[in-house]
Amino acid sequence: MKTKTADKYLSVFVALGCYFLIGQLEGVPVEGRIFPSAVLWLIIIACGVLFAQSLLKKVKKDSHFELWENGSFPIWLVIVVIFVSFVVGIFYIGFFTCAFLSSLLVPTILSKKDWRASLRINFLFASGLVIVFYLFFVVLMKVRFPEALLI
Amino acid sequence: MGFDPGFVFSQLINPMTLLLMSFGAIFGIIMGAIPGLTGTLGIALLLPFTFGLDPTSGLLMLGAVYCGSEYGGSIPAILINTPGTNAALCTTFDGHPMAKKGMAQEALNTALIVSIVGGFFGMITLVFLSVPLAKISMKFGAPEEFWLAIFALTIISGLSSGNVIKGVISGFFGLILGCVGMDPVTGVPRFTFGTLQLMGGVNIIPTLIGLFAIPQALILLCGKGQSSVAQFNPKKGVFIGTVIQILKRWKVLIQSCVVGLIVGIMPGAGGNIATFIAYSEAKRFSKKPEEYGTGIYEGVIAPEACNNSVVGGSQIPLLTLGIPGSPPAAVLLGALMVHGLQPGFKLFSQNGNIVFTYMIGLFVANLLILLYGSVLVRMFVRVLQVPRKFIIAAIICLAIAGSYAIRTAPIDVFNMMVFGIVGYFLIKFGFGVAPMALGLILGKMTEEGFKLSLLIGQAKGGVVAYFFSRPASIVLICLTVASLIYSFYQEHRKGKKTNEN
Repeated sequence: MKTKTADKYLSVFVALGCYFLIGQLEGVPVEGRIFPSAVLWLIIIACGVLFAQSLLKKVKKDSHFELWENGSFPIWLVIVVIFVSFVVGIFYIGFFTCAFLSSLLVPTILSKKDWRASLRINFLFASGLVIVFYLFFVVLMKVRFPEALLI
Repeated sequence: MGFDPGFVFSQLINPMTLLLMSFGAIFGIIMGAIPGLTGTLGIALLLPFTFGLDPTSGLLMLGAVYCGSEYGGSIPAILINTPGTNAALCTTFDGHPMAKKGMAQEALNTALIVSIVGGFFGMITLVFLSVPLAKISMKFGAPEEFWLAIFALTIISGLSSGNVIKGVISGFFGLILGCVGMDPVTGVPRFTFGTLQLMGGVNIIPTLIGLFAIPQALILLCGKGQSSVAQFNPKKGVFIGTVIQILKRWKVLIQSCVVGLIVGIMPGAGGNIATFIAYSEAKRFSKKPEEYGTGIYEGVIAPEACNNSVVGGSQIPLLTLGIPGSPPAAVLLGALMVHGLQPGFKLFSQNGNIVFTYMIGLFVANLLILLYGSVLVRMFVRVLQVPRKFIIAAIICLAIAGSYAIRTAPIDVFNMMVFGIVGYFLIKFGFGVAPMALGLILGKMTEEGFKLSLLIGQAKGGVVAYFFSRPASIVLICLTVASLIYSFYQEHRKGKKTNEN
């Protein structure tokens, strides 16, 4: 998608979002409403300017906004899924299990060569990282991470 | 406005403080040395760990990260022709050619020594200029506080993202995030969507971690693979030789420090612009400008002395007025606020001991960088070869652990996760995360200034006059308009250049 096109969609989307948020301020006394609603209206105006800018912009070479790098499978999405699973997982299977699994999975997925070949070094890295985290957070900083509910 | 020298001295010789500063300095150098990672990310990641520390030690550790990252950026710039930080871009012009000539150690030593000199220069000015400037901030009332926050937002919005309008939108959204939770005046919840956890507002630290750490980790995915590191075989006796070479070029050194300082004090300009100015000025004043770019000492001295001088300069408006001139300074502002320290006159009058220990402690931090930079240089060179896949995994783990460790509240981890993903899209769509972070940090101050001005203005019978006619307000409004016009002009010029190319 061209940046110009992305800007057009974004400005409309953000402006609508702001309009929705202004609606959320109904029932709030004027003292509490005046500042956020003023800021939200300013965002809507800025979105209008962005929309106009994207319409009027005459660029010979418009950069392309790529979420799917080179049309291949979006690796960032896989990392985001691991990240979200890690955050949710710490409350079910515990922080250290999640930390180990994610720090094993991320390098394995990102390995350019055969993933089996790099598994050993990734395993060592994940174990080392978990030990360092345990020593630093639990032993030194006395942080109590969520306990595993399922284990 | 005073401080107790005994307190400052006792804090600075405290082994724990020295240990934390050492950790901060090494961590900062590593953060700067890994291309793709920044000092801002380093400060954001370490911010939660300062909670359990006293404010002085915590701030000194973060200050050491900032100083260390500025030097660290020169290591990959010299050895692999890739700047570790944006400010180190000019160092590649002569630093890498020096390395190719077999003078990698000389180039690294030059970068280290002049970084420390630049750092000292900035810190001395910080100590002497901050008090008079803080006295000016004492005259600020509610409308000035409001305009000051708007000025800070427009500066960051203009410079940290490619598009000024997008930067402004991002900054304003930050202000809205600052409004989430119970309104302090009316006691009515705003933008909480019925969620109890949001009643207390959006917690600043997990949001900063999310905005700066996770997008950076995801952006690292798109980076190039490992670059080949230039030949580096340290020899004895080179250090003294380098010092002599630098002393012979003292004019370039002083000139670059002054440039860095002036540009650093100007809010928003930052190290990226300063190093280019310092490099081009050094070249302009040189008798042999054609030698620049071929691998000469002057080409390393100018940018490196300058970008470390910026650190001290940029903290002058930060500590005295609460205007962060750069993304790392914005995160440092967040650190000050979470420790209950409000920049400005009050910081110097009520917390003189803390702020003076911080400022003087930055000298010690620079000395530690000199020590570790010369002793652990082999380790920092090795860091360049750590595969990105491990760095990404470590950042994700550290971000989650750090945001949970603040107060062991699950909402903080979810907060960090949401803003991590939002931050990635903000960067992808060209909005920038720094304006949003600053908007969140300054949100409460801006709203309070706005509301108080309204109330006082109404009581005085003229809201508009109260907002716009006070001398300090007029100056701040003019600066805000000027910074916006400058940012639009820069954007227009950049667009024109891109089209021409």
